[in-house]
Parts: sequence; C-alpha cells; structure tokens
Amino acid sequence: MTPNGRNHFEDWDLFALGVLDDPEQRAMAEHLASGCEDCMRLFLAAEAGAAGLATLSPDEPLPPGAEIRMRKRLESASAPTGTHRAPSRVWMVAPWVLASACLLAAIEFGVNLAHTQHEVHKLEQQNADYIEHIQHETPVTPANSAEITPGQVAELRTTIEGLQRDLKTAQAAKGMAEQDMKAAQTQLAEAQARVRELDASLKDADARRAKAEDALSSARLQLTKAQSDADTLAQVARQDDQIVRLLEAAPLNQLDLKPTGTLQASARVFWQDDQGLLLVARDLPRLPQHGSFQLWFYRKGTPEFVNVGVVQLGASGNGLLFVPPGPALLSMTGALLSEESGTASAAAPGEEILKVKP
Amino acid sequence: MAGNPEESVLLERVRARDADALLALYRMHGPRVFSLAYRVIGDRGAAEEIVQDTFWKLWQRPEMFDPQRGVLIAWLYTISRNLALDRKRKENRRPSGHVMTTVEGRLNAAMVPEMAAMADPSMSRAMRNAMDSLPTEQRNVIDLAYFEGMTQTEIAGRLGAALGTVKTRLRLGLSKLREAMRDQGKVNR
Repeated sequence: MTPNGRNHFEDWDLFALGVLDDPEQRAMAEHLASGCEDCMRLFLAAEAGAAGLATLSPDEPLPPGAEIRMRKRLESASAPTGTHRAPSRVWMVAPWVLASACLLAAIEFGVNLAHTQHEVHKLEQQNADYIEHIQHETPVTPANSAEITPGQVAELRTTIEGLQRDLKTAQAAKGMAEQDMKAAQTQLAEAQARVRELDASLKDADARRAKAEDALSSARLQLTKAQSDADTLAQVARQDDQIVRLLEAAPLNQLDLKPTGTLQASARVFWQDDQGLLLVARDLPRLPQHGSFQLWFYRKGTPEFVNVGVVQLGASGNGLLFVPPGPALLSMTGALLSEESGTASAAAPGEEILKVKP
Repeated sequence: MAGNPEESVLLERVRARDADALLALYRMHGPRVFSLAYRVIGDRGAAEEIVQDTFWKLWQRPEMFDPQRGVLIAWLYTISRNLALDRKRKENRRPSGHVMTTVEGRLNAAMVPEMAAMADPSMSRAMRNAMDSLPTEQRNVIDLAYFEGMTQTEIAGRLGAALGTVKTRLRLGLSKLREAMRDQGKVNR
C-alpha cells in the first residue's frame, strides 16, 4: 500500500525513477523505511525496472588507464599515511599516464571527420611532444621510479603502442575520409552542373510556354474573327438568296423615289408581298460622321411613318436595303428615304432625301 | 540471487579486503557503469570519477549488497546514476530537484523477474527494442526523467504539458518496459 492507503503499483515506478516531487517522494521513502513488506516488494521490482533503463545508454569504453587510477585510489586508501581520496586526474600521476590519456583524448578527436585533418595533426604533434618529454625531460630516475612498478611501466608501454596503432588507424581513416570527401565534392559539382542545366532548360521551357500561350491566344482571336466573318457572310448569302427570289418573283412591284431638293440622287424600290422589298439607291450625298440613310414606309393610320431599316452604303454613294416580308410591307402606301444623325433606327424621319408619296 | 558464480566469489573476496577482486569487478562492470554515467553527465573525466566513486562505495561498505538476493549491476547502476545526477545538479548550480530514491542496501532484498533480467547480457537489446516501440512522447518523458534526472513537475514545465499527462506517459511507458524486462527475466530463469 502507498502511504495514502492506495495500492498504486505505478507510483512505486515513479518513486523508483525519482520523478515525484519532494513531499511525495519523501513520504514514500519514509513509508519504505517503516518496514512495509508489500511495498518493499513493489519498490524492489520498480527499482530493478528503473535500473534496467541504464542499459539503454550507448556503450562507451572506459578511458585508458582508468583501472590503474582505480588501483591507485585503493592503494592510497590502504597506505599507512591514512585513507584519503587518490588524485583522479591524470596529470597528478606519472608522466607515462599523462601521455597515455592525452594521446587517447587526441585520438578521440582525431576520428571526428569534421576535424579530422586538424586533430590528426595535433595528435601527431602531441605524440612527438610526449615521447620527447618522456624520453628526454623526465627520465625515470630512482626517485620517481619507486612510484611505478615495472609491470605498470610495461603495461603503459603496451598502452602507448596501442595508442600509436590507433593513431595510424585514425590517419588511415583520415585518408579514406579525404578520398570520400573528394568523391563527394566531385558528385556535388556534377550535381550542381546538372542543376544549372535543368535550371536553364526550365527557363527555356518557360519562355517557349509563354510564346505558345501568346500564339494560342492570337489563334483564338483569329478563330473568333473568322467565325464572326463566316456568320456575316452566311447572313449576306441568305439575304442575297432572298433578293434573288424577290427579283425573280412575279408580279414584281416597283416604285421610284424622287429627290425632295436639288440632289441628283435617285432610288427605286422593288417588292412583292410574299418576298419582301428591295431598295436600290444611287448618287446619295456624303453623310456626316455617324450619320445614316434610313428607309420609311408611308402607311394608312397612325403613326404615318414606319422605320424599316438603315441603308447599306457602297463605296460610290450607292445604297442597298432589303426588307423581309411582314405586316409593315403589307400596309405600305409610299416610301421615304431620310438622312439621320445616328446609325440607330430613328423614331421619326429626319431630313427627307428621296420619297414617293402614295 | 547471484549474478554469476564468479561475481559471488569476487564479492566475497572484496569483503575480505582484496583490492584485486574489486578491480576484477571493475573490469567486469566498469564499462557498463561508465556508459550510464557518461550518458547522464556527458563528460568522460567526470564519468570516470563517478564510476570510481561507485566502486569505492562498494569497497568501503560491501555489506550494502547481498549477492544471494540481488544483482550487482543493478545496484551499481542505481548508485552511479544518483551520483551522476547529484554532480550534474551541482555543476548546473541548481538545487536538487527531488529527494533521491536511493534505498541503498535494499535493492537486493527480493527476487523479482526484473532483477533476473538484469543478469542477462541480452537484456539491453530487449530494453532497446521495447523503448523503440514506445510512442515518442512516452520515450521523451522517460528519457528526461531517467537520464536528465528531472522531476515530473520539471518535465511538465519543459514540455509545456499537464502534470497528469506527464504522469500518464511515464506510467504507460514504464509499464511496457517492465513488461519487456519481466518477459526477459522469465526467459532467463
């Protein structure tokens, strides 16, 4: 049971992990100390589980000479001068140990590819310095040789030889890394060149696409215009057919429109009730800008005039207008051609140009 | 329970003040303890000192551990982790986040499947597989708790999560890991 009376196994997990906040952690520790057997079993299982998390740590080798330093500490503790903690830093022991540790530290850095060249150079320099230091500056004298046993010296020599082998391995790795780097740089340069080619191709493709889009837009405009022209031509053709049928009809009625002033213009209308009416005008006067000639019928009733359309003008003052058959034609009693200021059908005749009264 | 016969003999010799026996245990378990200390503290020199202090505790008070009822490596892990976290907090100049869980001398007081698993060299692989199978959020809180030594409140603050959420993630994750350990322990028995 937990101190608060609950049997929460998970709480012992959290307790063993040490994540509970102070009051709860302290209370549970006190409860364990009171001798509760059930909780102790739960805690032990949880503690073993927490310890199992330690195995998730990546494997790391002990530093070289670690065992020697542990031994030194044990020997210091058993020395007659009393038990004191042995120095744990390498520079507090023999120069051989110092050399070993420093060489290893340098090798650790040397295998780091990012700093390989610099570190290997440093390693080499340190190696040379330490060897010189060991051989010339701090020879093993009777005074200090008493601190190191022959067995330890042999072990250190072996360690140094091992470190030198590691250094050679690191140098070889450096060479391979440099080769790999060169190969990678070549690949990078090739890839960059390829990227530039692709970039240029992309730009070229973009330009061609823009040009094609312009051409497509132009073609669409031309197609629209051609369709409009075709519609116009079809309409003209239909009107021509109607005119032909009108002129071939019998009996064909006709009237001449006379100038109302001094104009030389003249016009004639041909009609047949079932086929429509055709106005043909000649020598029409020059129109002002936006002006038009429009045809009107006289009729019985109100209003007296009916606008039947705008005359289509030719290049030499001639005009033509076809009026399809319809009620306006049946009620016609005369015709009038007027000049209007606009091109839309007028509500009442403007200036009279030609007319024929009933 | 004994980790192995050789270990039991060495522990007997340690009790008899045989320094070579302690060094043999150091060679046997030192690298694993160092791996944990280095994972927590991130400094090789400091990690070595923590390993040394851990074995030093065993040397000074070998009676704290009973090889008939526990596994030495689990005890060493617990001691070294606590030492590493203490040192980490001192170096970071922050107060201890919680009461340390060390109940030294009692870790070995019972025979449990999880304990049996600790004696199995392949347990590490089983634990890693189990850890990899956890959802990321559960892995993260366990990592912060065990290797960073953070309390549940500190983890909640770090992750911006509710305290209850952190507890739930821890419980679920630990439950699955312990299940993996129990399975491994049963195989080992």
